[in-house]
Amino acid sequence: MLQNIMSSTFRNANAFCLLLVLGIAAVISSCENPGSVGSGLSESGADVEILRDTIGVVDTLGFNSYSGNYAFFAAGAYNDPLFGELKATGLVRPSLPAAGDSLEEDATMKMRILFDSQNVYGDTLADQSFEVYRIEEYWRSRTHKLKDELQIDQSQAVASFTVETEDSMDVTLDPAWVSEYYMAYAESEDADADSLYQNEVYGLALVPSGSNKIIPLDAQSTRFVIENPETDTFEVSNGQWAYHMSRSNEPDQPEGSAAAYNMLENILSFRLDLSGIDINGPSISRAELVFYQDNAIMEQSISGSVKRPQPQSAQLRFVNSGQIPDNLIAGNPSANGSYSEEDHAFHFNVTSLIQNGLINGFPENRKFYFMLSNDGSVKASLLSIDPGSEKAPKLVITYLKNSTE
Amino acid sequence: MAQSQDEQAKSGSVYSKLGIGYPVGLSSTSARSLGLTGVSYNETYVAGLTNPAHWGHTVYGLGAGGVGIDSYNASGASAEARNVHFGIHQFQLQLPVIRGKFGVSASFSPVTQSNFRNYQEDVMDVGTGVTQDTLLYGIENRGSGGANRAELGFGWRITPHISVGYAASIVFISLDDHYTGVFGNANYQTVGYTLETSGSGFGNRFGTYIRIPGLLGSEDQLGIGASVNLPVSIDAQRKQTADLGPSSLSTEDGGNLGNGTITLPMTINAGLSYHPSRLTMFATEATYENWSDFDNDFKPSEGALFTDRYKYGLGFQYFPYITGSNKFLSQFKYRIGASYDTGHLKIQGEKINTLKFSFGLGILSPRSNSNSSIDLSFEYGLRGTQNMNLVEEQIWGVRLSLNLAEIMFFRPKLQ
Repeated sequence: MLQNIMSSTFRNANAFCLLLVLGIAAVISSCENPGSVGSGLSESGADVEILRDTIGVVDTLGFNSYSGNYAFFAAGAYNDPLFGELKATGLVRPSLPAAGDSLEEDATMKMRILFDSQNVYGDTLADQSFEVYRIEEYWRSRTHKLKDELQIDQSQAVASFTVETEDSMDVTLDPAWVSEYYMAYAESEDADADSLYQNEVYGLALVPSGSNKIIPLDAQSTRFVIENPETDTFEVSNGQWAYHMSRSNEPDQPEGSAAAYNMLENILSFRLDLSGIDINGPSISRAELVFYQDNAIMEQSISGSVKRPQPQSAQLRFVNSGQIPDNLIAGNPSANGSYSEEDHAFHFNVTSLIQNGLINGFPENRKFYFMLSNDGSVKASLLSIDPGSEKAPKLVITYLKNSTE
Repeated sequence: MAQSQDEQAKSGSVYSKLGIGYPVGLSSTSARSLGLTGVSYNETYVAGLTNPAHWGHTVYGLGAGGVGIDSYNASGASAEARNVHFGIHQFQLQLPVIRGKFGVSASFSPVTQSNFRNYQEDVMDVGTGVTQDTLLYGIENRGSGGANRAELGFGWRITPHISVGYAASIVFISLDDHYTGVFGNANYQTVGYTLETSGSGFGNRFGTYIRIPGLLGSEDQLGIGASVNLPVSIDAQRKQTADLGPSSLSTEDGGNLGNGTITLPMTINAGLSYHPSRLTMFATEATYENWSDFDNDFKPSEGALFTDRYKYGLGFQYFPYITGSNKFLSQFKYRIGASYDTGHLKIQGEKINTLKFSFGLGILSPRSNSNSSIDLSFEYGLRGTQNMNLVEEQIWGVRLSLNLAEIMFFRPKLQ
């Protein structure tokens, strides 16, 4: 009996004490709120630091690359005191009408062209005249290159027009050309009329006369309108488009600056030497590559209504230098850069690239290439490449530094 | 910017950030209840680690293990933080080889513990010229781990009044110091790395215990105990590791990474206990640790922060259960004590001392033929100072240890 009472008492005591402990433990552990207290007890720790590393040697190189099938194709001419005398000839080729559409005798065919008036290169308010000639040589928009010249029949203009400040216009094409080089195929009964048209009709060239401005033409919106005297008007699309551009009398660029032109006409190449950077790759929070535009010189060389379209984006490629330019055209860029109006510079987020470079090293055969983005319009930028300049291209790395010492 | 939270990671004293953590000591839960180390007295039914000489008195097979939870309310000059640390404490198996004459002990116990977490925000200028801007960022620093001791030793009761003991140990260090940088701008990635320190070294401990019964009366007993832990030199490696998702990247290149030595200081424990009767005991003990000789190749800049540590304790225990009374309050072991620790840190001229008050309750096993017990310890203390922009901590702690002295542990045939 006594033993039972004692045992019961002990059990009650144990339960009471264990409940007490659990209660106190619960109160103690009820909430945790760690803060900054104690962070300054030791100099050991981590801090966020920024490293700025100048890119030493930047080379320029250029290629004759493809100019067709972009969103725009250019036509016009402008003598740029900074980047040389530019002459762009637009190349178009109308598609044949869709089934159900037909041209009547005496139908009028017009070329409806739409411009990207925001990206006109040259004197935006000046008139720019064009002659439209027949192309006499086979070409394809997929394979046509910027510097490739096509044979053009300049003995007789198919049309002529002048662009002022409007953003679209209709240009009536010569009925003789329409009859001989379009209607004959569009209304042909031959089963192989399409292939005959492909092989025998090469389209039209928009050749500038005068050199006031270069206009980017919207490739998708530019089309051909056929007005029948009796039946409905219909449109045919622009089947192929590209452009040829020549650049002559290009002046030497100021020392410490390099010209970059889109369409791979002039690009920059460089290597990044990370051997002197004592940072662990995974500690990098952001790595940014900055290329400054020499904006003062660019602005000094134009005035009034003259404008150069500002490239808003650029690409950074990190490719095998033995396989350029093919690997500059295909594939995706390593980083897309955007232009900042604040500091007039192109900024590339290269965090992953630099992290990998610091962890695994860069392959010896690869180089970095800076390219203005290609959209078919004509764009140029003067970039500062003087390593001694404040505006030298630089790599800016923000990282978590182990300051345990 | 939201502060990083990790419900799983609990943290302890902010001062455990320094060195290889805050020293823990070898006190059992019952000794902690007295504010003592336990070097000066031996408990028959409770395993003890502090003095190897006590193992020579082992009669029962003893096992002990404990857990504890501590709350640290830290106050700085302009900020406050509350950290909670739950930890598993020492485990020990103490067995008689020649009952009451020669015993052995195997144990695993912490030497230092580093458990902290702090978070600090700052701003920095980014960009240059017209693009100059400010970037808000925060750095969270979490630390965990410490040094632990795996030990084997023996105690020999040379005469009925004098015993000695020795223990050899391997001291392991495993410390993680993790830093995470978070940014108030989505263009910046969250980054982090962990400084991982690991290594091991050999340790040696000696102890002696002198028991003088019948000093002032027929039932009283005076106990004098001392133990010395020799310095431990740990060959360690430190590497910086970053988590890369499916893999991690480690490097030993860089400042204060690679191989190095960490030297733990010598520790001397000494004390005096007096049992006026079987029911009560008074004891006073002191600890000296020469942390001024602490050496850590991986944090040389912290060398000047360490200073010799002195700890004094005074405790009283009352065991009314021995009377055999069946009153409820007579079923427990009661312990009360206080300690003052000058601390092993001296920062900007200020010693980081700790004043602690403790109370303990021993709950005996309800089984009539068992001597096992559960010891509970409740602590309240104050550590540090807010002078010189330092941190003052208010510490609340609860500890629980299970002391086994059962038949499975070679219960003696004679009782």
